Amino acid sequence: MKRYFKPSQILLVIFAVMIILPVLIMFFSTFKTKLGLAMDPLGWPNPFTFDNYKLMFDSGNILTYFKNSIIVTFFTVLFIIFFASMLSHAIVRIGGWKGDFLFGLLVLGMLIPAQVNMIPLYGLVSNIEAYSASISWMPDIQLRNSLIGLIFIKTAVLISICVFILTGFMRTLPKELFEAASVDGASEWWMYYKVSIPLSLPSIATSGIFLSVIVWNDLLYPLLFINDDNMKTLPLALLRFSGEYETNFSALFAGVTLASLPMVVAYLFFQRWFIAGMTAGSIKG
Amino acid sequence: MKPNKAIILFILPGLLLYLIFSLYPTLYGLYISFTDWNGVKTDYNFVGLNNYVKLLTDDTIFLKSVNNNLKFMLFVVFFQTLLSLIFALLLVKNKKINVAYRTLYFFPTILSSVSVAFIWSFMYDTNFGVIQVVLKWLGIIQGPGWLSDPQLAIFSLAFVQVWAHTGQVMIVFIAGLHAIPEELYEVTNLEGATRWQTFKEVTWPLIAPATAIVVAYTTIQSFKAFDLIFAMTRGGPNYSTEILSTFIYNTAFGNYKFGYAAASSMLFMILIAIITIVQFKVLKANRVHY
Repeated sequence: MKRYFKPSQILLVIFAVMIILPVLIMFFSTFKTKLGLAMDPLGWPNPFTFDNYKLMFDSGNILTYFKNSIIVTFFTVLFIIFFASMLSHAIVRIGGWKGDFLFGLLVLGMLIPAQVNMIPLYGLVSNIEAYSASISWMPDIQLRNSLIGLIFIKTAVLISICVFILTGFMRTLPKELFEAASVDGASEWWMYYKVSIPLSLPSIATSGIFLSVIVWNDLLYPLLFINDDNMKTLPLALLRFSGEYETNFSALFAGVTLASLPMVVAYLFFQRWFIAGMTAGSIKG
Repeated sequence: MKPNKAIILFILPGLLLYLIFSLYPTLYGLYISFTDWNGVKTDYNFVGLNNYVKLLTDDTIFLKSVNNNLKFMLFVVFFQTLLSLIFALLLVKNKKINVAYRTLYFFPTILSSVSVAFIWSFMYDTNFGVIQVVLKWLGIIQGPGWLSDPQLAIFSLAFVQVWAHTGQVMIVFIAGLHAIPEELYEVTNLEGATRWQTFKEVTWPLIAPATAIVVAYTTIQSFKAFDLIFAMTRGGPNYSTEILSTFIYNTAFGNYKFGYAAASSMLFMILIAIITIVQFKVLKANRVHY
């Protein structure tokens, strides 16, 4: 006798529902009024309203946060990939114990959890600011409440993992390519730009996706270094909303929906890349 | 042919940034941990090992955080590893429906922990939260205070962590399963082994490397769950969901005890190192070589 529902299939469906249901309920709540949500959290939005989104755009300042998140994510990922690919290229080209030493030194950073470094990093940053302000000929360095400061700090913290992934890939490139280029009198920059980078594009893309998700979603570093409301990134802004709209979940969820939208849309289009990238990044890290 | 000296220009910018903002702070943290610095003033005193002694012998909140962190870790590591392995076994074949399931299970990974935190704060809400509404349907008037009951709150949070990351580690198991040679399964089939025997004799020993990675990664991830817990409970109620990372944050930025917080960071790092080493020893001892 053939059973129509195997226990294993029931299990798969249950977990699928558990994943999708909270997200859908959250999404539908954004079209409900505060009262509508309290009366019927599970049903179809009735009355149907866009007021929560309006609130986000009008008084929620969400466009500023979006802009900040885009700037921070774009430049952080760009800098990490730029610096890390140059480092990886150098590690592979130098080779031998020197290359291994450099690699080991850089990868050491992956072993240090961000939470271990947050206190001394904050201390260091405030010391640098105080020091640069106390020396008259030095321009004042502003690292807190500054998107550039946040970008630099995040770049420094995440560079290890990108070096790890890119070096692993570049080591598999045939050495003869560099030898041949070298014989032809190519400069190091040419080899980096015309050989290492183009041939490593798959692993650069993987790292780029992984890093974008990490930076876009990060709360800890903006929380540490950004106070000024105009500099806040989306996760930090959501935290602000949760304080302001404490019991108004439908407004808060409009913010959550907007903040998640770019990554969700990208995920729908590039699932395979996301899954490969996130797995490579998180597991190797 | 070896590169010339100009290669140093490839190294310097990234390396300097890394040394200053990533590696140096760890050493600086060790230094701060021997002081009573409050994070604001420029002067401070050396207090030797006082911070460490106080943390380990005379700070119930710190010890509670360690305890909570271990509870959180054990729950997450056990259930996340078990569930992700089961789902990986069920979804290992690259069929269309399986790929769809995998894509869906993986989905929470791309949401920020803050978003996940708010979604589940609403699910858990005791007045009009979704779980409460469902319980009412089932005839239960009032469910437990998922986030307000000090006994329960840390497990409610651990459940959310499992919800958000099971799909991610499932992918690691699937990759591990794909690496097992098909022939081994054919042999066990010919010998008439049951599915359980096949799993025990072939699959389990051969995915040991993937298991080791998953367990180690999940452990470290569960210690890093700062964003989720900070956004959901901030360590409350009454420190019942305080884990080490929120303890460090609150000690430094709530109470301005930077030296003290730095000392707890060092203990935090030592604890992670010990747990990781023990895990690798255990998993290595259990590994079978073919």
